[in-house]
Order: sequence, then structure tokens, then C-alpha cells
Amino acid sequence: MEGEVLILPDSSPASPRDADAPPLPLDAAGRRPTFFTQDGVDQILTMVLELATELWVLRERVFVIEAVAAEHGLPLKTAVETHTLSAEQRAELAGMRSVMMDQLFRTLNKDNRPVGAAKVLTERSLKR
Amino acid sequence: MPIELSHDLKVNHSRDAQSRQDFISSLRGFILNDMAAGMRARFDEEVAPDFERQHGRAPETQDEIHAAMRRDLYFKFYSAVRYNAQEMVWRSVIPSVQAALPELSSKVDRWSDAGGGSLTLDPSLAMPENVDGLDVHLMPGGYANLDHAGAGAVYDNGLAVFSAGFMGPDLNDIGLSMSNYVKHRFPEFQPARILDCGCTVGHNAAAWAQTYPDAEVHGVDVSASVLIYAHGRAQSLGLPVHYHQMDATDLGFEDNAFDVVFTSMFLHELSVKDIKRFFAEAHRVLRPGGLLINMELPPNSALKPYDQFYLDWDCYYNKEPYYRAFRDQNPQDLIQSAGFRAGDFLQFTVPQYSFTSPEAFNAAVTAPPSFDGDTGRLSASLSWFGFGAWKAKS
Repeated sequence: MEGEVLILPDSSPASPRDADAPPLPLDAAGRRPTFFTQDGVDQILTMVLELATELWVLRERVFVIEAVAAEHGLPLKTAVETHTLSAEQRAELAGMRSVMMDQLFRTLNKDNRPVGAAKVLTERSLKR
Repeated sequence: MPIELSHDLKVNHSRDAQSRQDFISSLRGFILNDMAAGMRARFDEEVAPDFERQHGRAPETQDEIHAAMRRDLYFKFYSAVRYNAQEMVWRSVIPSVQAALPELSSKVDRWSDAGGGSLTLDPSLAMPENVDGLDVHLMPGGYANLDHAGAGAVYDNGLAVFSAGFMGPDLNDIGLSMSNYVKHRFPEFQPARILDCGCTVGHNAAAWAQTYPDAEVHGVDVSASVLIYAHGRAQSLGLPVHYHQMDATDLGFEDNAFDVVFTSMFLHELSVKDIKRFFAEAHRVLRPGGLLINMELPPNSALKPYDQFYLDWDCYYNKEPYYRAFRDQNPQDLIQSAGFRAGDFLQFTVPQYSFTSPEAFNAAVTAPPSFDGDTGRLSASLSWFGFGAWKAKS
């Protein structure tokens, strides 16, 4: 039996190596609980926490960039201050912002509130 | 800080994902230490005195405390932030796991060929409702709804973020602590066959294989996904474990087949009815003189009402519906109902093996057994709570 992978007989065609498996879900099933009595506060708290997380991710990246640049003798801070974004760079940043918005407003989408979802879309399309 | 897994099935996380995980681990530390202390102070200074003014007495049960605290703004923030942090744990690892899935499958295949352990899947096994009926721990997709290693990988990587190191370098401290408790406290007891029930990704079963290298170690779980992953994980660590897709309440092993039956954080996910069914099965598959040993959270009867309320948060908000019902039970009564004798019952606390010197660990486990409720998550220096029983030799 050593080293063996044994699949016992079954009528199901399912295979543990199913290459066409659907994507892993990001949300747990069921409604999220509400802890606050005032409408929207729970969702806003999620937004704040997501925002805080992404802010930290950015701060850490900037920290690393500055540290690596300093190790290589690059005058990075001066270069950043005088840099002008190209059109391609602006488009890339817009895409990154869009992903961040999805994360920031994910509870509105999950709770299936059409008004909130529409607002998100409007904001995004305006920015584009 | 999240621990970095050392086995070959660990997935690569981008720098941003790692930063996100660091932040979420720190956030959980803040919630469980700073916010928990703030909430306790809020209870002592505001909520409990208010209750006394209204009722002419202090709150006496966790239900009274829960009802009073639910109206308190501090509790609302504590709960909302903790709930969000739980969601964020999973969200911080799932994209990396998704990207790694094809590689994971080929790694499991490759490590299977290395020999040592084995994997036996039973696609006809009916899934218990408590496993496929809800996303336990808020883990998206649940534990058992995949036929590839994805759920196992999400759980392993998520637990690394969730635990922030307190479960040991390979998330196996519970298995190491419990197996070494047995090894040091009962040195004459030499188990030849060991069974871990509800083993998920097999991290603790592998620890038993590490502690007792001459023993044959088996792990069972109902989820194929976590077992596929567990198999590759243990193989890559060079720890031979035999994993089986089986329901612990209906084990497919012969009578008297094992010297040790072990569980870790498993019982509180079962209904009391299923716990009793499992204990009856454990009694059946243990040989006379064998040991049932469970690592669990302390029973409510050993805790003050506020601590009962605090620990049972998971029951209400973390999709662990049986958490409280289990902790309302008397462990010894449960064990005896399965045929174990009162005189063969044992319960104890054990220091964390990974973070304790060998001398201190040995001194702690060879001292007279004790249990005073100051254990598990409530202890200043973390220790695990265990209970179980020897199966009568005749």
C-alpha cells in the first residue's frame, strides 16, 4: 500500500485531477451578520479595513523600494519627485485602481444592492 | 507574523500578498489582545454595572452577558473587525492558491511516487451536513466541496496567516505537544498504530509520525480535498502517513486495530450525537489498553461566565454551530457514555512543545495532572487542554 493513491469504485465521474474545476470562491456562503443597527456601518467598516490593508501593502512596498534603491546608491527620492507619468503608465495605474475599487466595495456587491453597485460603476466609468 | 510553511506544497505569495497577510496577522493579534482587553474593561466598568442596576444582581450566565454586550458599541466593533479579519485571512491566500493549483496537483503526484505513506479516497462517501452544509470558519467553498487539493491548500495557507505562529513552525504544535505528552508521561506505552480523526491537512497526524517514527500512523477525514493535500504534504516532509477518506462516526477499520485514537479541535465541529457516535467508534477500534486522546477547548463548566461568553464567539459568528453545545458538555460523561470506565479518564494541560525547553516540557508533563480552566486561548502562556481515556484491558 506504500506510495499508493487508491480511488475506491464509484459511479461518479469526478476525478481528483479535474482540470476544468471552477475557480475557488472568495466569499463564504450565506449572509454576513450585521453588528451595527445603523444601515451601512458594517459595510463601511469592511471598506475601512480593506483600505487599511492596502495602505499597509503600499507602505511596505515603498519601504522596500527605498531600501533597495539606497543599497544600490540610486537617488530615488529625487527621481520620484521629478517623474512625469506616461500615458501607458496612467492606464496601468487606472487598471490597478479598478481592482482596488472592487476590493473596497466588495460587500456592496456581495449583498446584492443594485443602487450601491450602480454607484460603483458610475464612479469608475467617470474616472475612465 | 504568518509562519512560512516548510513543506514542498507551500504556494508562492507575491510580495503584496505577503504584506497583506502580515497586516491581517497583526490585525488579528490586535483584536485578540488589545481589543479583547478593551472589551473586558468595557464589560467590567460599564456593561456589568448597568446590568446590576437593572437587575439587582451581577450577570450570571454567558447568555445574559452576550445579550447585554450585543448592545455595546465596543462589542460591535470587536465583533465586526474580528469577522472581517476572518474573511480577510482567506481572501489573502486564495488568489495565490488559485494560481498554484495546476502545480499543486503535479506535486502531489510526484510526492506520491516517493513512497512511505498512502491515500485512499472513497468518492461514494456521503458528506455529513455539518461539513458540506456550511462554510465552517467562514472558509469560502467549505472543506469538502472540491475534488482537488484546493480546499486543503486554502486551509493550510489560511491557518498560517490566522495562527500568526502560535501553532508552531509547521502548524503542527498541537500534534507535537499531545504526542510528546504521551511519550514523556507514559514512556512504557509504545503505540504501534495511531489514528488521527478529522485530520484535515494531516499536519498533526504527521507530528505523531515524527514523535513515534516506528509507529504506523493513519489519518481520516471526510474531505477528499484536504486528504489529497495532506498526502502530498506529509510525503514531502518525509513523514509516512496513511490517509483515508472516512467518516469518524463510522470508521472502516476492524475492532482493536489501534493503540492511539487522537483528535485535535475536531469534537467542537460535531453535534453531541455525532461526538457520542465517534467516541463509540474510537472505543471499538482501540485495542484493550489503548488510549483515546483529544485536544480541545476547555469546557464551559471550568470557566467563568464572561470567559464562556468570550470563547463562544465562534459559535455565533464563525460558522461553528456546535462549538458551544460541545463545550456545555462534561467531557468525562461523554467518554463514559461510549464505554470507557470512569477510573480510566484523564484530563490535563500541556505546554506548547515548540516553544518550551525539553527540560521544562518534561517537568510539566510528568507533574501530577492538573486542569483549572486557565488554559487554551485564555492562558497567559499558551498551553493546550487535553482529555481522553484508556480502554480497559479486560
